[in-house]
Amino acid sequence: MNTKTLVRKYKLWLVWQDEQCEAWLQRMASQGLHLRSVNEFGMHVFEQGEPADVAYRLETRGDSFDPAYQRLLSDAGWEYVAVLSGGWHCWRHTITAGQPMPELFTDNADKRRKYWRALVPFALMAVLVLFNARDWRLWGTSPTQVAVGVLCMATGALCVYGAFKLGRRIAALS
Amino acid sequence: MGDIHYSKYLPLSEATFYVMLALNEPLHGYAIMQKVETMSGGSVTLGPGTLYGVFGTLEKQALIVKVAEEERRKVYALTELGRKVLAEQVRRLEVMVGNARALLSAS
Repeated sequence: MNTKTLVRKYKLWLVWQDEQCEAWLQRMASQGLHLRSVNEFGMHVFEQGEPADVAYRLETRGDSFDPAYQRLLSDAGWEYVAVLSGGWHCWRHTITAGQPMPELFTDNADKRRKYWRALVPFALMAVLVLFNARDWRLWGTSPTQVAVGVLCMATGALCVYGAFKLGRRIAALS
Repeated sequence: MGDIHYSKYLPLSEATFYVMLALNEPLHGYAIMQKVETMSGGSVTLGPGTLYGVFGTLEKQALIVKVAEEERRKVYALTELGRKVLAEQVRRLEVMVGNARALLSAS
């Protein structure tokens, strides 16, 4: 029977922390913890195994499930891991000493496009929330309504911040 | 056939240039990655995400065309237009290199 020890770790990553997340997953793999799945609340499930040098890469591409794209990635030695919270698709590749670091994107223009794809939903959400906030007087004054209003504004603020952070990443790559 | 507006396509990025060069013969994605790496002596590596993006752009511009699909691997080849654009890029690069050589060796 195949029984693998599973280790759970809770960690919530925000969309602009992709590189920190990749580095964290690589550190975990070097300790023998190999990512198996992540749920939408940030619970990471790892399989305990042999320590290994593994590069993890996140991307947003919606056509990750295009069979030809998947075939190309698996031909090139990439393994699909999971979709992470925030919509990042996670791939991994063994690191070989003396070989270049495995990368999905080797062109800055592609990296910029990757962040643009992540930015668009944030920007739309921010605009939507802020547009709603124009009519804040109509939202009502009962504690529940005020609570919902505050929650909406907090979501909007987070989206604005997220769009700003992603924008900075794009600018840095230009 | 009318004049080709080369400025629409040129200059090619390094990744695009090498993909088109490799497609001198029909190849699928991973074979292109390997060929480019060997051809450039390891100085140019193409990530699969980048390569896939290049395919999309070149196909839309009709510079390459899918000629076969085997086991979910798409095989591409240069079109006639693609060959002309690549040749024009090489010609322009030769002019640039020639100019640089003449100027730098004179100083």
